[in-house]
Amino acid sequence: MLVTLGGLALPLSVFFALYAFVMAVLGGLRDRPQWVRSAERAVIAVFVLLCLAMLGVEAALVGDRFDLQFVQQISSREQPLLFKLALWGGQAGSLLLWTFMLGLMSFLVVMQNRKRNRSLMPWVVAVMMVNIIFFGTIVSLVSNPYTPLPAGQAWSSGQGMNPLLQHVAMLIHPPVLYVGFIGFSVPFAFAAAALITGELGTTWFETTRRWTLTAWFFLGCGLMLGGRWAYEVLGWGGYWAWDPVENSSLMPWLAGTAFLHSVMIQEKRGMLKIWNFALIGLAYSLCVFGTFLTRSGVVQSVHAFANAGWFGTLFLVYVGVLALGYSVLLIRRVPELRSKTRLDSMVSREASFLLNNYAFLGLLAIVFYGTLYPVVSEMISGTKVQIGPPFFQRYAGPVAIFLLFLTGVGPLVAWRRATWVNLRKSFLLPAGLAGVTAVALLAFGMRRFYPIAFLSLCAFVAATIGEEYWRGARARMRHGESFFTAVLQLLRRNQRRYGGYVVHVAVILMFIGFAGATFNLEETKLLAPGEKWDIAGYTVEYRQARPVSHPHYAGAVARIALYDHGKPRAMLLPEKRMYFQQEQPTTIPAVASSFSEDFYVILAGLEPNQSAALKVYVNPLVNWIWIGGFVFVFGNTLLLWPLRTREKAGREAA
Amino acid sequence: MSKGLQIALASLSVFAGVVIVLTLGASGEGTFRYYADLASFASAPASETSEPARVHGYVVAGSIAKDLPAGHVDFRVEDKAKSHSLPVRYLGIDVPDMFKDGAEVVVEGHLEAGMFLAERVMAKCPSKYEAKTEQKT
Repeated sequence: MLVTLGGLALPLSVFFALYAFVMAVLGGLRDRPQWVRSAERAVIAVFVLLCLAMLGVEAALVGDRFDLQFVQQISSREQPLLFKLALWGGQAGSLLLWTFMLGLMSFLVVMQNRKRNRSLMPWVVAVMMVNIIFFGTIVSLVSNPYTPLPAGQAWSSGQGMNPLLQHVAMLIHPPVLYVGFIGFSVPFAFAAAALITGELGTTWFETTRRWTLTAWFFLGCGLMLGGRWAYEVLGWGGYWAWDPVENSSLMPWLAGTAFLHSVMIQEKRGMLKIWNFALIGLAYSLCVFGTFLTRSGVVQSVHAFANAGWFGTLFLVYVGVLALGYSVLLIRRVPELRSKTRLDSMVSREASFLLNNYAFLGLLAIVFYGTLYPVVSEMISGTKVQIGPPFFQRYAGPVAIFLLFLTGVGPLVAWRRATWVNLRKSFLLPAGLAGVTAVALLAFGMRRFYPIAFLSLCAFVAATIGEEYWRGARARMRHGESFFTAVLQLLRRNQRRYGGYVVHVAVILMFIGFAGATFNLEETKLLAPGEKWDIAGYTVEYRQARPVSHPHYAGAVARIALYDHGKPRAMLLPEKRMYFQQEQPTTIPAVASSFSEDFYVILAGLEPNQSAALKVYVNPLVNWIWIGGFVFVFGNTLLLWPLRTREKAGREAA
Repeated sequence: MSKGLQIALASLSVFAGVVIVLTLGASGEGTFRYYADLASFASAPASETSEPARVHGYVVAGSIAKDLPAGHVDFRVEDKAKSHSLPVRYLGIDVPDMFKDGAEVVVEGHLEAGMFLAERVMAKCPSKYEAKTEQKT
């Protein structure tokens, strides 16, 4: 019943979206608020219908409706409930999820703006509906989760989800990423609306500030979840391979980071207006472009997805239309957007934010180029070339160093023009600390450039953040507050600044983790039962291999005793599994983690005589990346925490 | 020169500079010539094939010979039409999970004396978004 309803609700939602689009545009053109209200009511209807469509698919998945092609492909009778519900495990389901989220966000935007931004809303609704019309049509006509199996076929169960994906991080990674991608559609819609109506002030991004930050936050989390899953499950000891699918979610995040910083310059000094409009257009276009890259197979990736040529072309055309349309809107307004204000000095906060943007865009250009070079080179010279991680690392390295440096300098350098006094006051201590760190590392015998540079700059940035908190807190403590209260008040009174610093701390921690990667160790050895192996201060004692049995898989586990400098450290149990249903072998690594490094071992092979081929990775400092991830979440929570200050309440009532 | 022209020229030169730098870098370490099938690899000149390359193919059934004590795995790859095949020696023992008879693989390395010495073997992740071509009962 629910399944049937859902199947009908899906195409119906597209019709309502079309209605909403038409009414919104007409209402905006002819200045008829009633028509706009009608369009907004239609948006609510679209959302309700998409909820039904989602519920229908979930009901089909939970109800084992293997007469539906989609259910048969991604689910199976024995699949755990949580993974049955993960409809994003297949193309049709993930596209439906995308459409549903667009509907959800459109609904929220409509509800939030019932009494606000009334002049912008017709166009905001129109742009949001364009998105839903496109994705909804694709889902309804091309990749529909409700499509039944071809006539004459019947299956008692389904093919089931790939066991590699049956992991908690993979469960939430796609929805988290989607909140990120689709979240950017809201500031994009408001930007387009501002360009159409000519309301070119700061309203369009101030009113969507939380949306942009939330989308950026979720996108960042999605990136980290993907990395953590790769590290835990894929068994190659790494977390980022500069793979095209990975890069396609990194690129919008880079544009988004640039945008979050450059809007601050527009707020304070009215500069970079054209730049900000262009950036949000770029960020959202990259979100849709990313989904094109992922689903079209145009770039070879180890994340193999369907190679349907015309399907990918549809997405490419859509991105093109979006980007082109938006550019036309922007170019029309360029004369009005030109700011009279000029940069006073290269040593100023405005300049460092501008350099920050250049650096992020440079990084974006590198990733974009490396990702698409294979396609372009094939078109030009006929030979396909593939780009591996060394290319990205070689160019991203220097840019990353520059960005780290700016992270420390930007927040402290004076507006307009910094004086020597200002520079000395703010940067003497941090620079000194950086120098001490570098010297200490050299004294300890470290000779590699990147880790020394990264770690010294991390010290630099940490010192600047410490300085800011200390100075701010001390000023408040003069009025009698305790240190703790002072810090809390700093966060309350200047949420963006001090919350932002916490996010910068997260970045520092992650860079400490990245710096460690230069010293990664990787070795393979064949061990007989009982044999010991000394490596990197550890002793690996391979005791024996035992068979492993489970309803869904069978395999072997190697029992390994790990000694750390002679002392017993842990019992490691790496496994090799064969999942019956998908006939898929999987390697499960075993890890002994500490703050200083990870000892990571996989069972690469098992001989009939019980000798085990063990592959060991020693990854120094890698856990600082995940710790940084938690601080990232904490920092963003601080930034997004709703604070009802009296000023805010007054403004909203006005 | 007008302001607009200055900006346009500056942007153009920056853009050109970036493209040139990246293109030069794209021939350095970490880039591989990619051969989608063995036929194109077989017909490539010797100068090309001794450079780092990635070759796509399918593991010939029954050809996998693991020699764990010696530390390498020998096998053959063929193309879809089964018209060409190439002997490969993977210089390691930790083959990917998907690696088995008939698996779709990309081998990364270079050709030496008729044998492809592979530093990496990548097997295609099962596609989430593709319908399986062989149905299972």
